[in-house]
Amino acid sequence: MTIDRRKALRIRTEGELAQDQLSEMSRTYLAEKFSAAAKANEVHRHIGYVMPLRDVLRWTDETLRDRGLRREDVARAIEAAEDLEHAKRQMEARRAALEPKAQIAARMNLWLREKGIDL
Amino acid sequence: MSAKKKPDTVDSLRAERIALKAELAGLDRQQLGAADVAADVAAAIDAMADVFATRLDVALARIAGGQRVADVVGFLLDPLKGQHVDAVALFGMLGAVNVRDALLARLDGQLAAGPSRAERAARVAEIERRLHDIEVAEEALIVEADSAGTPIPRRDDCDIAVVLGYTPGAGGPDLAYDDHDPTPADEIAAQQALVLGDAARERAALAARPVRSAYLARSRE
Repeated sequence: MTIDRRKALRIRTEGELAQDQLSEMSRTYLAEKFSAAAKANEVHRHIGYVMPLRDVLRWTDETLRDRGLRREDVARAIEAAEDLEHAKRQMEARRAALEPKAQIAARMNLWLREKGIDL
Repeated sequence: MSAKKKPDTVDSLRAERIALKAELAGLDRQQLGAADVAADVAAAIDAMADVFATRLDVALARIAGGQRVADVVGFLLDPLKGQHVDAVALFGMLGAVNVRDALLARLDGQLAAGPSRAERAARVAEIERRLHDIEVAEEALIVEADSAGTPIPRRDDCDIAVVLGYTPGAGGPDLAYDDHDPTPADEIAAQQALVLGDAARERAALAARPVRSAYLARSRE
């Protein structure tokens, strides 16, 4: 039997790289998610209940001060939430390109094993 | 003047593949042709007639052997279910030919004309051949696009055997060269360079192993 070994090696390498990137993306996204959640939690902790951060930002300086909040902290929490949304969209797009490569490599490795072919 | 066929593209091949897959699934669900249904009915009745004939032979042998009259009706009863007259006996008593003709007369005109088994099998084989050809053509276009620097992603359900140009044959795998360790470092470096689009690194890595360079050059042709 014959196979194109070069192509097989390339598909395997591409799959491994894709898998690495997918894992890295997930780690980065999770870190951003925790960071954004921590910022939002900090604001909500001062208020005592959960409410939209944009509504908090409309409060007067005096109200914010009474609650022990700083306007820039609220703005930062909103920014982190927006960044997270953006990162999520980017990740989904990137995942759509990477996942097929990882899947093909995984299927190929299984196929090679079934055929008893060791690259 | 005949219209010139447009060259295949990966998209056109994928569209054709989807249509063929749908047709294949449709063929699987489509009802049998009238002739096939009639043949199946006739075969089932004939099989029952054979069973009845065997039961009758046994019963007649028992009668000839002087068994009690009650055993004479044994051929009417299902030997597995006991004291129940079954369809085999019923059809046998009515006459298998009569039952078959009655059923076929009832079926006549009731069935939509689907493709026969033979037509269906021929079409399935034709579609499968075409699907394989499409897979091969698609992979060739993907390789071509890759060489041109405009890579096209493979379908995640691509046929691995086609992608790797697998040719079954006797003996172990012929990997063109297998006199080295399974995943040598320079090979991995060459592959990574290729994936990352680093032509200079790829060339340098390949030059380090003349045997492989020759093989890789050949595989590019």
